[in-house]
Amino acid sequence: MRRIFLKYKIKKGGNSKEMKRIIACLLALCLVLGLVGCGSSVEKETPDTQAGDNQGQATGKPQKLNMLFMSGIYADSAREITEEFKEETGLEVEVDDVPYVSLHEKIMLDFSSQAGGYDVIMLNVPWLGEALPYLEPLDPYIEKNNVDIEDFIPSILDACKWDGVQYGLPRAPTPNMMTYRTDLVETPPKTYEEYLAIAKKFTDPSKGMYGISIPGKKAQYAVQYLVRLWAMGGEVADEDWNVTILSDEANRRAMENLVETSKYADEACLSWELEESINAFLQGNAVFCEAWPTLGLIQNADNPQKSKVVGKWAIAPFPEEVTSKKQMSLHSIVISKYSKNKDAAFQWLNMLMSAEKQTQFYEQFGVLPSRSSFWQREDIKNSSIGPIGEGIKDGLPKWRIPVSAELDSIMANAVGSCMSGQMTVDEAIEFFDSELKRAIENNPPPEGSKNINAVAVKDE
Amino acid sequence: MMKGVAMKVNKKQSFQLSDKTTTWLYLIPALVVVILAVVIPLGNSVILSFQKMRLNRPDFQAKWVGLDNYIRMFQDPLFLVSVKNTVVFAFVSVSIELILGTILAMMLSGDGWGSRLLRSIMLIPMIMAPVAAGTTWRMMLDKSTGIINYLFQLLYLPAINWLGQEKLALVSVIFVDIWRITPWFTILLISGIKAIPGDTIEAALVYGASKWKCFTHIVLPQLSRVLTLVLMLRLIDAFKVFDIVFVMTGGGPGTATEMLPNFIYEQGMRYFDAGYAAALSIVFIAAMGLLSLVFVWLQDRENI
Repeated sequence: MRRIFLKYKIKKGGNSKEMKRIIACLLALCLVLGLVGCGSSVEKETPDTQAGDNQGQATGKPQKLNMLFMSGIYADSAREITEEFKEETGLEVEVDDVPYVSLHEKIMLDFSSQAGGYDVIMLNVPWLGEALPYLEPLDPYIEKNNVDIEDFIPSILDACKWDGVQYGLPRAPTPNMMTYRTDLVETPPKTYEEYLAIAKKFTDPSKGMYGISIPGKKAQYAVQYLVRLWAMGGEVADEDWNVTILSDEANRRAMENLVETSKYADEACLSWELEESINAFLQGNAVFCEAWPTLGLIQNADNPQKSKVVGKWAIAPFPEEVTSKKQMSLHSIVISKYSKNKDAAFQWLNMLMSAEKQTQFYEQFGVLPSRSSFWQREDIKNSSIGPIGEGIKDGLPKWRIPVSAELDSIMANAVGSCMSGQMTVDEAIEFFDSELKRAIENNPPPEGSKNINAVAVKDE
Repeated sequence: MMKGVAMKVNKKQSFQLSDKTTTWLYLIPALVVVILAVVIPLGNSVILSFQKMRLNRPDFQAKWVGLDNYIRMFQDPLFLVSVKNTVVFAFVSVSIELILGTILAMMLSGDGWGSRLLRSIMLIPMIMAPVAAGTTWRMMLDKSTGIINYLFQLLYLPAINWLGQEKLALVSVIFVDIWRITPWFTILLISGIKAIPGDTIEAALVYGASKWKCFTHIVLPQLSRVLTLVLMLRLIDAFKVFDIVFVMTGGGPGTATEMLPNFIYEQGMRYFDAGYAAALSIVFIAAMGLLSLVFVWLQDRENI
């Protein structure tokens, strides 16, 4: 820089210093103006903010509620009631949405900042233990508003409780079940031995036909491991959260079973998301499909433009070896402790979770209701989703301790590495065991908390 | 009267700023931004890297753990795998991009309409959003439904499981990165080639030098400064790969394409293990700093 100045000085002679002085003064002025400008903008904002507060104070609370939901049908259905809610209460509602992969991060960042950016949040139940310190207990609101919670399916309502306190209301319970071809298989298999025998019989890669269609991209494959583990009566830890992967033989059997299953699946499945595996089934290229049936399969299976298996499919539980426990996806609609308008937030939550709205959301978007009255309807029992209602009763969401997100990744890495041949079954089990022990030691469950899944699996 | 004039001149001279002061005055705004946006957060990260800290637990008190986070990372199997994958990805992809980019730059540095048209077409992969490019390639590389295998089968070649096999998945990710970034190398190297005086090459050709000799003895030495700079920028960028891998393989199958930036992101933003994530970031920054120093040294050597 000095060289540039000297060059300038040579060119321009004595005027250069004058010039530099002017530029320096202008720069300083700009800096000061910039700072003052920032200051004044803050000052300017203050009266507006105060006005907003006054307005808020005049009506008691802020005039707008902010919600955070998972993208797709869940957020779309939540948006469906915003107009009606505004007509009833005069309150604006804005529903933000993010894809599942970013939902955990977005929720926890909002909670950690303690800013109360969102009033109502769609929380995956396994994140309940982690989010607990930031949640508003709902029992006083349920009592105050005389909400009929008896109609919610008891097991999933309990999954949204912690130490007997209701922190959320359950939404979209989806047990992990399989879909099978009714024209190829008369009755769904009851054991994994039978399941694999049928899959083997129909597998013919030269014709592009496989026994099983699996969503094999990391996290999804791990879910299939869990399905087998619980069916075989095993768990990753005992009720006091001591890791038992190496000592509980069911873990090894579940992993071996998954390796065997992969022999009758398209080897491309290791890079498949749900869409690809569902599409393979809809195109008639598989006998069984292990993807969540409600995430695109039941919606399209009877559409001749998208499906070659119209009228030739049904949903059934996975084989039950030792227990009938099913891995289940479940969300809980919660209120942030930092919400500035908790009463209105609960009012909206109550509308969203009403029996009438849940039925509307199922018909319009395919979001599965969490109320017993819906699943007890004869027309639903006899429909293609009838078995799902039965599956919900035995459904178990994944673990709810603060280390849940990490546990998911560890399991996904162990299962994925084993399925892709990077680890043997022994190595995968050892990796899973040692990594989970390290994670739990590093981020232990809250004192006294029990592994309720282990209790449920072992009790059956 | 004369005395009064002299005093005025002295007063005027004393107000003038020295070059050094003016230089610092110019630098102050940038320095303030750097201190606020880089130095303070970096200092905070260094302190954090010696602590155990969980951002998602309001009751969690930060604990001083010394070098525990640094020791932990060298015992973490996933960290070691992600370092290995990232190093392989960065060096292989950048080497191929450099060679291809140089060849293409030599071919397309002319001023004919064909070169100009091809240069414009080459910009397309570069301007595509990485997420869009990754998603498109993921679909195209699918073993059963992808167009690549469809074309293979038309040529009676077997279908390849591009993204579902451990080694091929990494190769596929490297291939897509090469497709995206080679044009960037080409464009920058073309500008370097155009700056080389044409008469030097013409003189060499007149004296009977072959085209290869012209390239190795005239073009390459004069291009070396641009090459070093481009290589440094790209290598550092390659170590930060995230979006393409995230979309195409999600780090899988298993841990075959797990990369260091994704690993650090998961520790920080998924598990909220701030201390460990900070330690990982510090090591990453230090490694990138060392790499930059090597290139700076190389450039200084060329200047000499």
